[in-house]
Amino acid sequence: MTKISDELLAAYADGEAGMADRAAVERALSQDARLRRDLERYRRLRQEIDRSFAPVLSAPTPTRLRKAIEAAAERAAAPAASLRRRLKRDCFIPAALAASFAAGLFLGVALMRAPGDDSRLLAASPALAAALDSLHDAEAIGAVRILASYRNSELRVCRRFSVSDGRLPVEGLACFAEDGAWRLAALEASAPADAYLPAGETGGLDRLTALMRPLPQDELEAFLAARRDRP
Amino acid sequence: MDAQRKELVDCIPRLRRFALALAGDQSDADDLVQAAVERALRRLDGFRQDGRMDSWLFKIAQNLWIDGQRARRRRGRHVELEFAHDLVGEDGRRAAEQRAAVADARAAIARLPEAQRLVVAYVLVDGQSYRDAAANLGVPVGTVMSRLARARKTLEQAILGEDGSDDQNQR
Repeated sequence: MTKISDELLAAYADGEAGMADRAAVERALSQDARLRRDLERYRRLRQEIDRSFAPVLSAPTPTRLRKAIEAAAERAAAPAASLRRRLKRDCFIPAALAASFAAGLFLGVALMRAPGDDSRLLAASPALAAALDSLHDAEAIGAVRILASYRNSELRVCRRFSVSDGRLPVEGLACFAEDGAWRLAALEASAPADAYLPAGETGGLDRLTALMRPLPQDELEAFLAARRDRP
Repeated sequence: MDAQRKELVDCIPRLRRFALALAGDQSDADDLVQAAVERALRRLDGFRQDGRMDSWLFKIAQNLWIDGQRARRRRGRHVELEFAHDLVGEDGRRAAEQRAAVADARAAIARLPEAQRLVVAYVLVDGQSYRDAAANLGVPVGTVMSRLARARKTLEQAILGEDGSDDQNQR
């Protein structure tokens, strides 16, 4: 009688044995009680493992993990990293940002000083904050234009904007935080022809906003009214 | 791009199960899932359109876990069971396992040596084919089979208890 190895027996049970091997295993099984017990034990082991791991498969993704993943999606969509690299590499860029609007330099400086810091406050950036607080979509003040408005998964209002002075067009996404200040969720160069951006670091804003619900007109009106009438 | 992200999110329950098999503990597993998803999202653009999202994601998790295990070893926090195994020897280990209460499958898998645990996570927990597991691990199919055979013996002992001798089991 052919000796059936442990490997082959498992392969048979797992449906991984070839035709000839299958026949050999079945022949051996018909003659060998010990082998039948081995097979039975292996099947019971697989059942036990299935049973033990089944709950996690059907469980909803825990909130902590879901939030972390959403945050990661936002960070991934925030090519601020690539912009930061450019800012470090190329001194002309902060100057261009500064030229684009008063808040620009502040933005650039904040990004350079706090790489990876998620609490990039825009409160100190009055021109941008004013635009975020008061403009309807598609309206502009100076170099700042509001492009679209959304509600993120935490039901916060987020607004996509562009800053453009013809030298370094930038697009960003700011979300209105619980503490009553705007936070920069993402910032990216809006792909100027001369810019070198490593593959995979453009289009992040599109990915980010695609996850969000567009803000209905009446909700935007209510939000703007609340910002206008705030004490 | 968005379809890819949805595909990624759809993989998460399976990824959590896989990570649980590796980490042995749900909280550590979710940390691993989080790290893997974060890395995947950062590299989503590098993901081949014709590739399989699940394999890609599992491989990221696998590599992160292996790196983490290495770091843990360097810190010397715990003795790998592989080495413990060598020290105690087959008989000592068997005896210890017989004394121990029949363990939960998860706990038993968590005690396997790393290389075996990876194979078990792919094949027995996630139900992947030997070929896919071998491809993800970068080893020949034969290696998957031999690791699986070794792991299986250990797990059967731990989870199902000692196999009765031939005479006792045959009525």
